[in-house]
Amino acid sequence: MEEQPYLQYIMPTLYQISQRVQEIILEAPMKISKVYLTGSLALINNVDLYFQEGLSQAECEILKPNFLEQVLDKINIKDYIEVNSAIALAVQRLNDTLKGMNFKKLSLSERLKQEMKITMPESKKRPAKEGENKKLNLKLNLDMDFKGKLAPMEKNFVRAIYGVLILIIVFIILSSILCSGFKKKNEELDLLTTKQNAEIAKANQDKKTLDSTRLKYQNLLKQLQEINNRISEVTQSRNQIPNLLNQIMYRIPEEVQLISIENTTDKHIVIKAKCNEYTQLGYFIAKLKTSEILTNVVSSSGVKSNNVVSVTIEGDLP
Amino acid sequence: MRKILLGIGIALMVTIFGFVLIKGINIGGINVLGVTQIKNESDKLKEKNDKLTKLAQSDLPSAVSATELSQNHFKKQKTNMKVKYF
Repeated sequence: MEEQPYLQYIMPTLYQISQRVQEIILEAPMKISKVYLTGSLALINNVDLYFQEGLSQAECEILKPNFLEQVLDKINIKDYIEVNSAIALAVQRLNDTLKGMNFKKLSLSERLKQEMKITMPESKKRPAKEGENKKLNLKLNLDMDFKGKLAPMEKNFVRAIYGVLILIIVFIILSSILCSGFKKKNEELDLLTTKQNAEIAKANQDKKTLDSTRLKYQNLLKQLQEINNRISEVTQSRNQIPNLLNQIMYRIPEEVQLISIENTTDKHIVIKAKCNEYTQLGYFIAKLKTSEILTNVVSSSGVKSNNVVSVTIEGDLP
Repeated sequence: MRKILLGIGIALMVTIFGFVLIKGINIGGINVLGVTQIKNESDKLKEKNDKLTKLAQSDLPSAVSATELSQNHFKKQKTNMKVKYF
């Protein structure tokens, strides 16, 4: 204390500053990670360590111009700390011409932003003459800084982007709903088509089965008809021979002798007869025809031997 | 610069919207159909529907009526047979 007689007057002030800074850091909406000390009080030995103790959340550092970094060892701190304000004012004025001059050491993102900052040279210094193209006075501001209030036009741009984005989202949702609807309807239609096809196939199969059974029945019916015909034929022919013989018995002339009566095929009858006279045989043949004992009667010419005439008479049963 | 970027953003959005509207996209299983694809799908659906309508209103009834006709013939045949032989 004896070595530093003014410390007792300075400390309360430093303490107040430290407390106020602490309050500002705590109340600030964004995070303050670094506190720079500058001004004449920054010359006090270890003042940065004193503030560091009070401000645990932020890093304390004495502000030094970064463009003097290479020569800082050679220059006494007093030489530049005392004139920091003057340097700052000078840099502020020269900012447009001396790019990159900054007390603060820039982070990578800040440096990138700085690099991307394109500002067209101003032509304000030379007053525009009358009739001179106004394009010369145009300033193209290509600032990448997105902070700050949006101009009405920019607001409209943002609204347009949101509008298109909403349109895209609405379209995607509607299209997805439509897509799923199409998928569902396709599946339903496929299922119904398969069912209908199965029903048609079933109906066709039934028809096929019915037709084949009907054909089978038709064949059976035909067979039955044939059997019936055969039976009736048999029944009919069973009495025909005795009837024939009976009729012949009553109509044959006494002189005519029957050699044989043969049923060669189904209804065909071959009669062999003999007689001494042709006339009697002729009479017998005529009787067979006229009495309709036989139909389609044909007779062979008679063969005479030993005064006996033999003939063969053929005909069909009626 | 901000205006230029916003302008580029609008142009990009409009391009994306146009692309999605015309061509459609497929994002990880979600199929977003474009207008042309929606029209094609609609046509396909209509075609299928017409086919199904034809099946239901024409093909199936005709198949069923043909089967019924065959069945009636068969019944008639059976009745005739019964009358004739039994």
